[in-house]
Amino acid sequence: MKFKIFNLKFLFLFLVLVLAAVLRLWNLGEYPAGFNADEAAIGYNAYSILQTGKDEYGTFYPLAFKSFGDYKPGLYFYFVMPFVATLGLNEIAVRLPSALFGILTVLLAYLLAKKIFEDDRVGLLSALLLTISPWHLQFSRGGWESNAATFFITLGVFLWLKGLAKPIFIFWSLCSFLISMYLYQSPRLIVPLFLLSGVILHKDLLFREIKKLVIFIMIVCILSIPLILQFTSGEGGARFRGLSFFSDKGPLSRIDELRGEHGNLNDKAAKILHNKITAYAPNFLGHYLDHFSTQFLFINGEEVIRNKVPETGEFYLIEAFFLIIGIFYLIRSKFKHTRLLILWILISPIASSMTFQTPNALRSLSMVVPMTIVMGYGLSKIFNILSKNFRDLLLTGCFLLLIFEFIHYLESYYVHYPKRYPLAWEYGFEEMVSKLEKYQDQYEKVVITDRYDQPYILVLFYGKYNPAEYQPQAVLTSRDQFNFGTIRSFDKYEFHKIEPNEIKNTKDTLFIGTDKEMPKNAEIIDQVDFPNGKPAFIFFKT
Amino acid sequence: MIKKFQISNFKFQIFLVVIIILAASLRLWNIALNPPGLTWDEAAIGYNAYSLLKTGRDEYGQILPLNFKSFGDYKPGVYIYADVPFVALFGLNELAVRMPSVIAGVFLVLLIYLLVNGLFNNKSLALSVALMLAVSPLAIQFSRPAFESNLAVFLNCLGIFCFIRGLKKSNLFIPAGLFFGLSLFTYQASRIFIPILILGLFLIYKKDLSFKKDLRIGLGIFILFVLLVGTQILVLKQSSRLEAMNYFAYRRSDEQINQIAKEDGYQVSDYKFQILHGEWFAYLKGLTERYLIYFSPKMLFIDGDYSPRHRVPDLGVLYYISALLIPLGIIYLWGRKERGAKLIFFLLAISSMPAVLSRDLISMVRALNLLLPLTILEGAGLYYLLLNIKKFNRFIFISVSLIIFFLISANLVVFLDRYFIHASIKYSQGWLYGYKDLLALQCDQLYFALAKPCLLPEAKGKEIFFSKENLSKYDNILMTDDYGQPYIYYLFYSVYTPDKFQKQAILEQPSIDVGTVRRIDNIAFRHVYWPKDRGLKNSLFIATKEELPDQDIIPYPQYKILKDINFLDGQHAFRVVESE
Repeated sequence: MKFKIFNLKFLFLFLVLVLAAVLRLWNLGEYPAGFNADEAAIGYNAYSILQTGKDEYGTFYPLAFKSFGDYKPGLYFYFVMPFVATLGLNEIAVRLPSALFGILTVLLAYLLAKKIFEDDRVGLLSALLLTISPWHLQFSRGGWESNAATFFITLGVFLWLKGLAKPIFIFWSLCSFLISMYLYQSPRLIVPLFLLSGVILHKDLLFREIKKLVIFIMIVCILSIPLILQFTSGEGGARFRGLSFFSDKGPLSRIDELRGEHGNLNDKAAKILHNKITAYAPNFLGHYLDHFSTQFLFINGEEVIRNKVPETGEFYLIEAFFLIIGIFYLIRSKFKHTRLLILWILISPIASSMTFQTPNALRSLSMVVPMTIVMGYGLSKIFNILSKNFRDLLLTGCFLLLIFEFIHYLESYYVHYPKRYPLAWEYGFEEMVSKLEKYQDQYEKVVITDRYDQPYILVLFYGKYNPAEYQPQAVLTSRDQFNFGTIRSFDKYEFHKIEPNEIKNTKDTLFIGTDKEMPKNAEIIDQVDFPNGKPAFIFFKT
Repeated sequence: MIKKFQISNFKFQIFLVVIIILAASLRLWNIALNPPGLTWDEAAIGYNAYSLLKTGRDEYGQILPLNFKSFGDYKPGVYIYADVPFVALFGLNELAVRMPSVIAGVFLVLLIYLLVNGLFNNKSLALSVALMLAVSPLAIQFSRPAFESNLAVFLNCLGIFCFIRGLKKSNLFIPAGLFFGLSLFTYQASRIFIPILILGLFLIYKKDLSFKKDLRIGLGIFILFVLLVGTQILVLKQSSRLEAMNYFAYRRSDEQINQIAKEDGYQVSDYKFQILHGEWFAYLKGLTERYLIYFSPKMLFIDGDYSPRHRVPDLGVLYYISALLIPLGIIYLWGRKERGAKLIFFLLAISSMPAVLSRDLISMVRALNLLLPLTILEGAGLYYLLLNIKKFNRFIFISVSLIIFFLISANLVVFLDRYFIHASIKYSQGWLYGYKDLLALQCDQLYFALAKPCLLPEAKGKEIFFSKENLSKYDNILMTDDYGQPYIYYLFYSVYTPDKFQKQAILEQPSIDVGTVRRIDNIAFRHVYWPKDRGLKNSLFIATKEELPDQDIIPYPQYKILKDINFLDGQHAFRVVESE
């Protein structure tokens, strides 16, 4: 009897993992439709290191990649390297590490949920929900460092819990957290906060093993020296400065407005009530709570079209029901680690809340795992309803709605997404570059529009441009308002907005622009279209 | 009063009295001036109450109606009848109109104390809840203006209280039925809320109920009221408001649907399209969104409601400290064996229903019943927190308690600043302040001592356009309806003789949405179309600056600008122009 049940659960887990793999790997190169600039940067820099040992700017094995001036944390690039070496410089090589980590995260979710709730069923249901999770799928498909970091954070949590029984796992847990910090920026804020909570919650257990822990911490500190150096060098802070919510001047002007309404500008009461603290504290709280808003979680997801799918939230509607049940039962539960789980949920959005573009599903990605586990717990509670008929009815209803929403999501992702938001993944560059290679020898110069993000890197990537030849030419422009720079030219290519008088004054030049940049009397040589039929690139000359 | 005050301990009585006085002052302070103007509904309530007082009929001449036709929305009438004695006492003004809501709000504090004590037999818990209700921003905001919703919440709570007491003393089931029935005629949302509530009460307390005579009588009274409501909606067709405001009356735009179909390659009528992208799923999403938003921390603590009449600038619906108190309250109450705990979570789950089924994404006024469970959770959280700190030594207990009360007071001060100083300026347009400045001429009526007599500094000696002698000298008077329902403000502020209006009252209602009255005596209430209307001689025009622009009036000697009136935030409200 026991043997049979054991097998059934393993079988179910196996099927869930197979489903997770299929959903994340199927046609990974074609969907998401396109290839965005960040992915191209990762791929090309990995290729550059493979060929020359240096990044696109000629830096030897950097810790952080200068790229667009955003100094991307480097570990993911190094994960990509073996894939580029074996599969070549293409989309799948860049996306595969993230997809594989995504599949492994599903397995981890099972193990973690099972450990916390001491129940196989909670583990299986959590794994199932994460497998089909819109939020997790969005970031498992694509070259997302954040998703790889989420795997290591989840692993870190799991190993930490194991470490409470066997101290050596604490060391591995710390290593795993450290890896996540080398992969992506958000963990650099979230992990220390999480570790602080972990230490406070488990201080008695930890204090018993204090001798071993000190050794672990020393080793980990040594391993983190490169990270600390990078942080203090100033480059790391560049991106943050552009995005930080303090750069939003709205609350500042509101302070003056509010003080004015008191009648007397020097009014002491007005100054106490309306100042930078009382303006920015609620502002920050608002950014934080954005990550728990109904709109974000269940209805529409976030605003950035690269991070979401039309008409879908980060979770399915029915999962709201599971979440509510899960939360209420968590309150009464006697499990040892539920507080850590809740703290994980509360801490995860903090890094994302420091920016003004909230809610942000990418920066708060690690939230999806603990939230899904709570939802899995809530769903499993429905199985415990005593009244058999009501239970069967409710379960059938829930699963029917879940399956429907899953199918709706798939259709939205594969059919509607490429047509409605073709710009999200810069669709069209692959075709454009292959056509470019056909025509470019006939011209002295090629001017390519910069309407789509960072065209230079995509030309480098798809053209498999020789890194050794490119590195000496790489000159990054000064930063724009978001703190990004770009490359304006290399070799015979120029990348900028195509102005009408420029077209008139140059000859022997191939222009590749949008339909708005093309003058009426131009000679169209070729064209690349979006999936919805609208033109992406038009090849023309005068 | 039916119930006896069973508070035996003197200390608790003192605290309770202090809390009630606090509640009363927060709700009464400057009641006539803040909110700074009257909504259409407030003016309609006041005038209909006045009309009842003088003639026993509503503004259209209907004798003692149950629902008041008003703008074609057929307002349920209990609030208006409740207002009659106050109009008699204070005259037709803001104070009189708002008094029933204020009194309901103040007595709710006492009532919630009695209810919580009755449910949990815990005076300290009840006191914490009463305190949180007294200072609750949600309660204060909706107790001051004349919101029928607030009176309904009070009646609902009264009904619940009588029901709970009725479990021990069954003769209280009768007033319970009465109060629930009255609530159906106080506010439209009750017609959805009360049936669900009663069902819940029966399910939760089924073990304690026995179908004795009193329960049957109480139920019978309630069903009588339900039948009355049913007759009106089905027979008299007085349901246009429900039709206009319900969620299902609105569908996605054709543009949206067509875009989806184009991307799919399906026809809209195809069954596959209807399953995958049908309106049913859009409805499900919309309903889920409308339900969950009342539990969204961002809405509760930062954003609040959208409507300028239901909110305060830069603050949410609850205090920041409630972000700590409510989870604590949930932890404390969830799992307690008293059935009252079940009742509170049941109320939490269903109170937003009337708002969920309505068109607007958020409508605190329709979900106002949430006030009860939310405040009880806040109070329970406060109580639970203090209870846990008591375990430590006395010093820690006192210092932490002081910190907590300081935080609550700080939140209160922030709210008072936003409400009394900033809201009246920022939202004076939403509260139709312009009408008041334009039309109010009653400076010599008796105002309650807490409100300032003769609200506007320039009021004494100001030109009073709207005295009857002055108005009759014009051939035509045009008043814009750009701000909505101008006629009711004219009636209200000029204290127009009701039976004279009843003879002329005609409602123009082109759609199921609200209508208006277009003519009283020689006054026409409509949008002013200056290119044509400028030809009217010996006329008075009251309109917006866009309707009466500078360049078309100032250069012409036959037109004289008598007055320009602004809202409290400086924006232009009305311009009064006279033609020879």
